[in-house]
Order: sequence, then structure tokens, then C-alpha cells
Amino acid sequence: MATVPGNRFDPSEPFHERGAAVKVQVRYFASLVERTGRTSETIEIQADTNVERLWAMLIERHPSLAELNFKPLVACDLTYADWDAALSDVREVAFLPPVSGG
Amino acid sequence: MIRLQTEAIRPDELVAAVRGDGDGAVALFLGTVRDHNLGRRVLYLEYHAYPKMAESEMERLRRQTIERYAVSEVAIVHRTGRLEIGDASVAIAVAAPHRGEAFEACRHVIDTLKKTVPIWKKEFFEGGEVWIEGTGTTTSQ
Repeated sequence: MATVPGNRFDPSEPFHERGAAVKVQVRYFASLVERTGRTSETIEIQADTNVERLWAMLIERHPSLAELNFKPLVACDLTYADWDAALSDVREVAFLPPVSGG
Repeated sequence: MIRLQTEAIRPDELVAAVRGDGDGAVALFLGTVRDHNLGRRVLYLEYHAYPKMAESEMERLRRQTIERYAVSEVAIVHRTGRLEIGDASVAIAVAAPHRGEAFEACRHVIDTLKKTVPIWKKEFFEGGEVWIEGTGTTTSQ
């Protein structure tokens, strides 16, 4: 059977020992949109990656994220989560500046 | 009634949504856009939300308030988009048998909303614009 490039579910390909690669949708809000130049992006991560490690990857892509004067809040699939939360079953991770509604 | 909307808020809709025949009080809170902030003359505000999560957090807050206070019903409506000076950005209505709990619960809803519901305002003032993020500000331009 021919291998389809980029098909992460191809059973002929062994999983990475740190866990299979999964895709998460990362969303940015308020000033983070201006820092990253986008409202969202899809990032491929190892299944055992946590929020803190994902954030470190995002800082590599968008260095100005390292200059924030606040620690963003994190939401995994629309619910507030901790920075050490696992991402194995998460589809959408949002980084939220301190909120200012009302 | 839990809603994010771009259209103007109609407070009478919230009052009608919460009031029941067992209630002796409806507390109504409106947050309005003021013309100054931190010494700056404000021209207008833009509200941006994480829509699905904002609605789920508002619903969580509604349920938590009904559990915690002796109130019958809570409605929360928040606007997004561009708002002019004097526009209502948020409206909260709380119905209760007695006024004390209605006032107290209404205060709890607005104070908690300001800390937990993912909505941000961008302030456009004479000479610039800033994202308001928590109690601090981040200059964007």
C-alpha cells in the first residue's frame, strides 16, 4: 500500500516514541492577535505535549509573545485550563489576555 | 437569557425574560461606555469576544448565581463590535422574591463577568488606541 505523505494515521508508519503527532487549533485574542498577526493557526504537536510546552513552541514562531507583561489565561476546548494541562484530547487551545468585558 | 449581540441592548427584553409572578424585585444593571479613561478622552470602544466560550462562561455564571443566591432567574446580554459613548455594553437582570438578594446577586454577576468572561475592549482615544487587558493596558499603535 502506498504511503500517503502527511497522513498521520497511516498504520504502516510507527508512532513516535513520545506519542503520536496530533493537530491542535491555537486561537489568539486581543493584543495577541497583533503580536502573532493572526487569530488562529494549526500546530502539530506530540500527543504528550502540555500547554506550557506548546506556548514555548509558539514563542519560537512569534518571538514577541515572550515580551508580554502578563501571563495569558488558557482555555482548552472552551474551558479554562492550567498551564500543565495535557493536550492529548484537546482540539482547540486559546490564549487569552486578562479579560476586560463589562 | 444569555446572549452576545452586535445590536443595541433592549433592557425591557431582559426584564421580561427574568420576571415571574413570585418575584417582588428585578435588579437591572447596565454598563455604559464613558467618555474618559485614565485621563484620556475616549472616542469609542470596540468589544471583541471569544464567542462560544463567552456564552458558556455567562451560562455558567447564571447557573452558579441561581444556586448561590435566593434568586429566581438571571439574564446576561453583552454587546460586541463598535460602541459609542453612552451605549450599553452589558446588561444584567436578576429577578428575586426580595430586593436584597436581587441587588447582591446582580453585583456578583457583573463583578465575576469582568474577571472570567472572555471579552476584551479596545479603546480608541484622541491620539491612539489601546487594548484594555485586565486592569493594565497594552499599547497597540
